[in-house]
Amino acid sequence: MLISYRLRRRLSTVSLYTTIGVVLVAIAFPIYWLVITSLKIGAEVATYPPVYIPSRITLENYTAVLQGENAKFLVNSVIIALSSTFLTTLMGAMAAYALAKTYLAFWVRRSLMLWILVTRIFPPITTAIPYYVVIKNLGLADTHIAVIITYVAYGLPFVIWLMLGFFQDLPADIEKAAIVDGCSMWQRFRQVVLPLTLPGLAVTAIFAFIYAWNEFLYASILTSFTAKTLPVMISTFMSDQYLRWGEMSAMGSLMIIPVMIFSAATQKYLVRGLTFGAVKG
Amino acid sequence: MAEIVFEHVTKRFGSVVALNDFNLRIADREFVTLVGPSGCGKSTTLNILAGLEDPTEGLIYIDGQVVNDAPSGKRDIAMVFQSYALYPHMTVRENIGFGLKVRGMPRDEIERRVQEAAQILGIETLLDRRPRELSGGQRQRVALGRAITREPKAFLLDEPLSNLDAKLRTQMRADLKLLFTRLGGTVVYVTHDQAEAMTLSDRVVVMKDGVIQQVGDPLSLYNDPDNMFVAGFLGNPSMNFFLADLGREDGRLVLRTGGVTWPITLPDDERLVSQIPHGQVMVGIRPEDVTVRLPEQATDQSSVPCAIEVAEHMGAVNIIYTNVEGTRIIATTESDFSARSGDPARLSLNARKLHLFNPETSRRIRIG
Repeated sequence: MLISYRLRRRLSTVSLYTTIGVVLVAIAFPIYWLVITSLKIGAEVATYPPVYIPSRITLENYTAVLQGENAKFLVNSVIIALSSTFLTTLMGAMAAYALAKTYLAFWVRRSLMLWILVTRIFPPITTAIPYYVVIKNLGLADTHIAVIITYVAYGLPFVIWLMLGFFQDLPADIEKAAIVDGCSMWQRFRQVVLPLTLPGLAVTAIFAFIYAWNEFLYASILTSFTAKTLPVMISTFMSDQYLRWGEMSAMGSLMIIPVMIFSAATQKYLVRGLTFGAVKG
Repeated sequence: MAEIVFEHVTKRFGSVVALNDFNLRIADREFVTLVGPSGCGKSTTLNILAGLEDPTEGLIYIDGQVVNDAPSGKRDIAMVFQSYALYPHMTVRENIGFGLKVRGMPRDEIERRVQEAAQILGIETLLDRRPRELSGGQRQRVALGRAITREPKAFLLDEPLSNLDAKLRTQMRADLKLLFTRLGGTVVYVTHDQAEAMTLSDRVVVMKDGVIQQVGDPLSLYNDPDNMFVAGFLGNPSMNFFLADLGREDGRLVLRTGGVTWPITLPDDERLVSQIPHGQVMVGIRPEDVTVRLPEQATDQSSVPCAIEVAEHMGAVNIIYTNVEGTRIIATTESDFSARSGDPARLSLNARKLHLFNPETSRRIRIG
């Protein structure tokens, strides 16, 4: 019995690590492939059988993509992603707070929540053309504002849904204490509620940022040059004449970096437990 | 400091009546406790006074001013919550000073008041800690500190001791009494614990199902309850109740339950009899007014035989659960009374401390 128990435990440990290994490979391999392709010489990029370990490392793809107008597209991407993240998170948090704390009949809140979600239910492509016409008629085509507005509109439902849960979990007594202490609604939100829901804000901000940073469809429709973002720029490495894998993957590798920095910067707020100790012992 | 008046205050949540025609006048500097089981409306009353909830009907006055439409922050009251509700992201100092900061008080004045409160509560060394680094008792003191720095017109305390362990609760109870005697504020205190209500208050308001049952000073409520609920709620162990039939014997009224004739007689008073419907009455007697003796010590002929079910030795007193032919009667005795479960004993009742209630309305029937 004892041996079989030990054996079983060992087997379960082995299978656990195997599973973790498989999942890790599945996640890490595409990233490895992206980075390694960006460092390969042209002859080794698209061969069969594929080259897993390049014979020579080169940075020529990077020097190629970092030339000319491309820096401008990077700046565009940063401006658009950061401003839309900021606006989505702030407005979404305020909307969610209002929904969480206003006295509403159950079905009213439920309907509002579903209504908010409607914009995310249909595929974005279905509204792409009329949306472009609206933006163009507003004189906003190929502007940063057009893209930011779009991302905020698309990001809001997600932020509202996520933040609502965080606000509802906030102990009611803490807010009551703030009310009795004389806080206005805004003071309460700014000085008590927001600091306590930082983990939630961090999560939503990361998702909003990743969405805005990587979004391709609307960026490609709404921008042509002035407000063009990196994903749109990467697509120009593909044409019916050529497929520039090396440069595409170099740009792709570079694009991962800001997301990683942003996630690392917000990660410390992800640590839950800030509200521990507030209520009860 | 302030006088607080509730005038015909009713609160309904949908079809549920949480508070029904609540009327109460709380004098300046008075310590009033609202006590009752959960759901009796005591916390709702406090929330309405604090401005956290609006009454459905009725008026609330603080210092003669109707405050129904005044927001919470403008009512100049401070509140202590059962959960303490400290701001977890602020230090103790910031927690205590927050209400003053919100009101735009100068920084050095805030610091002075925080120091003063911390000194009163003995938490000077904790000022730079955060709530999660504090024990329950310390958090409790910080919550009190937050209330007293404000120097409000009234203190509202919502079950402030319920989250503490039993020993600390008893200690904090005494500290609270001392603190508010010293500060001299109007205090409205909510608790479900009758011991807190009895020990802390100038006056106690006993509530049930949103209705005031009785208002009075602790001892008069204890000795002279208006109904069975108040009689049973105050006191620990609670009052014994048993249903008895009224009978006549030698021109006196006697009480019988089944085969037992209780060792008490009542004056054959016409007014008393007229108040007892169908010849049945609910008898209430507190455990300390029940005497249990071993059969050989019971020289008193008026006692009835009983069996001891359980004897709880508490140290200072014993709590004896007896069985008188199917009726359980609890008695408290001196600690030197030694008995085991199953022992036979004799039981007598202090007739002068007897309470009679109408079994249908549970209202008190006053004797004589």
